[in-house]
Amino acid sequence: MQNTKLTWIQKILVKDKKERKNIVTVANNLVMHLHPARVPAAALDFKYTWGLGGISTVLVVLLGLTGLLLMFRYDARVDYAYLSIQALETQIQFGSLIRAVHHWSANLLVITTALHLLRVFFTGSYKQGRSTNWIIGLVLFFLALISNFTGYLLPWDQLAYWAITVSTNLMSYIPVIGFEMRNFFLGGPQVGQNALSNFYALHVVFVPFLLIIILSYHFWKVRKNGGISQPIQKENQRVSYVQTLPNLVRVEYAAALVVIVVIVLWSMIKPAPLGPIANPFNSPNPAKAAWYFLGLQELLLHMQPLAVLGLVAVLGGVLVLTPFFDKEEEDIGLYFRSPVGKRAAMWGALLGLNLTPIIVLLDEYWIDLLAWMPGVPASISTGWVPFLTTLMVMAVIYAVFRSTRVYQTKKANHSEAVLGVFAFIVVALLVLTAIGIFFRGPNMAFVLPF
Amino acid sequence: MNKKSQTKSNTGDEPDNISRRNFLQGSLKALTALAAIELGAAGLLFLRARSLDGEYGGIMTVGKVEDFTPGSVVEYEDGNFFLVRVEDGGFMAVYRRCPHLGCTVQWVAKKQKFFCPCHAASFDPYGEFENQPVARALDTFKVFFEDDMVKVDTSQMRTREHHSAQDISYQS
Ligand code: HEM
Ligand code: FES
Repeated sequence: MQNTKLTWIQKILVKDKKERKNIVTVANNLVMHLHPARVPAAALDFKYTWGLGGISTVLVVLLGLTGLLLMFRYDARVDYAYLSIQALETQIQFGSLIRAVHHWSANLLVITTALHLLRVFFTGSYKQGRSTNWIIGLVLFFLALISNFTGYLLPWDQLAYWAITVSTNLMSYIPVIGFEMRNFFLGGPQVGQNALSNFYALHVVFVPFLLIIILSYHFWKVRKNGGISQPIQKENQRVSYVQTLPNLVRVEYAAALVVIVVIVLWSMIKPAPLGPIANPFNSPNPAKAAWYFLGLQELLLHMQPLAVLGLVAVLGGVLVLTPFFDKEEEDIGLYFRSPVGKRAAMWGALLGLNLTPIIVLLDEYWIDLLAWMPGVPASISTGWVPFLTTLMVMAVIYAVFRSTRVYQTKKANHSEAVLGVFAFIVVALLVLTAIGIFFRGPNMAFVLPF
Repeated sequence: MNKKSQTKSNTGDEPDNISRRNFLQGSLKALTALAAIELGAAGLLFLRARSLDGEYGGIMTVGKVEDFTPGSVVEYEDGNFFLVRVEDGGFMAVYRRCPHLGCTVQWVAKKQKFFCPCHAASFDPYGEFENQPVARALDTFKVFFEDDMVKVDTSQMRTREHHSAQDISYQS
């Protein structure tokens, strides 16, 4: 603590030496609530965490501040919502900038939390008693998506209106409760004033409140688990520690500044988009969801809504359960676990990269499940059949990794095989998203972007 | 602390004493649960759907029978339907809302099909579905005739799995 120096601003503001010292102590004390006094030197390695958790935190703070400002100018009534955003864009000093920072931070938050999740998965950091924090992390990722989703309706433009219409109707396919659930969230059968009021309340109070509480718990749990994961040390190796102050805090501070500068510069160049005002009588063509949901939208072109929901539910369930079935702890803290794991991940990724476009193209031009199975109800031919086929593909990939020599003479263990399947899913989703963004034109027909 | 209070208590035998404490603790839990249920239910009811009626309703007069040539499709945006006069002279009013996830379908005359801009569903002129994402034909409204005028009853939507000949109305 002694080796922290006063910044020049503190020197100017505070003349009294003793008082200066107090300020530093208080500030450091705050830091010490978040961090332990010393951290392993290796934990500071940027190439291990890529600072993704920290960057996400900075974004949440930015979102809170800009969101608060937006609240003063936003009007959550259907007749005024769009006008108030237009005023922000055209009349209010810095309105466009504040809105852009909110918009781009929100988008970036989806990316950074997703990458954070990947980092944790690929380094096996849900092991050694970290299962609770893994699940909390999944909840946080979900909350980031929900924040984006609820915020998306607020500008009340065409994109907003139809994206929310489509995704809430998706909800109504959930068996038994789906229909009621949709009506509950919308406050009626269609997107209207009730839906806007609901989404506004969720977006500015409910979700941020939950997010802050759960995020605090997340931080606390990292400390409780003895800091971030590290590879297990050999018998006679000793971990070298460094002081948190200033080593860790300086890195965090620098990363935060870089994020803020990049976001603000980007926001100055690219304002947040605003489409034409919502028109409940006409969907735009093509009507695309927000980019991070385009992978799912692409899936919806190929199978029934319930099948897509089923796949999402299975994936979510598997992610939640992963730490409880993956007991291989000796590879914690190592990217891709082992040479075998590296191979499996590479194979999984390559399969995802090649198989996905092939299947999408086949389905576009050749496969016609409805016509091939005449007399079979559509819920089977274009519901159960693609749903089970997709799950089967993943099961086969897993089985192959377990039973063939993936690297030299070694077969993959459970942890490594799951890693391979996970790599497959991630890349497949990325490919689907790219197809949705670049290769879908009017009527969602297949087009070339060039 | 538990032990102490137990040994100290000199009223009656122990099992009785414990069961009274258990009873009190149990009731406390039960009351807390009840309060939680009450608050939860009140919250849900408070938030429940505030309006459950559709967007329009009522009977629309769309025009004279002979104004519509067989094989034509005309869009009525304010009624949210397409008036279809099929080749043999019958009429259908096809709801514009896609049975998949609720976007509005568009009529593409060149291809003689309805297309949905959201997930590529397509439907033939009778509203029958043709491809993967959907599992249901387009909904319809009832069409009837009065004094040579075509009228559409938009107050009640008729859902159907597949198209059938009964969905077409003829002027008798
Ligand atoms: C996890 C954090 C948050 C995320 C991911 C998020 C995301 C979004 C998104 C995607 C929009 C739509 C705006 C656009 O893209 O054009 C939006 C709008 C809005 N948000 Fe947030 N938000 C977050 C936190 C907050 C907070 C904490 C507040 C208030 C204290 C807030 C207040 C608003 C307001 C008033 C709007 C409407 C103005 C506009 O549409 O530009 N947001 N938010
Ligand atoms: S909403 Fe029409 S195809 Fe999905």
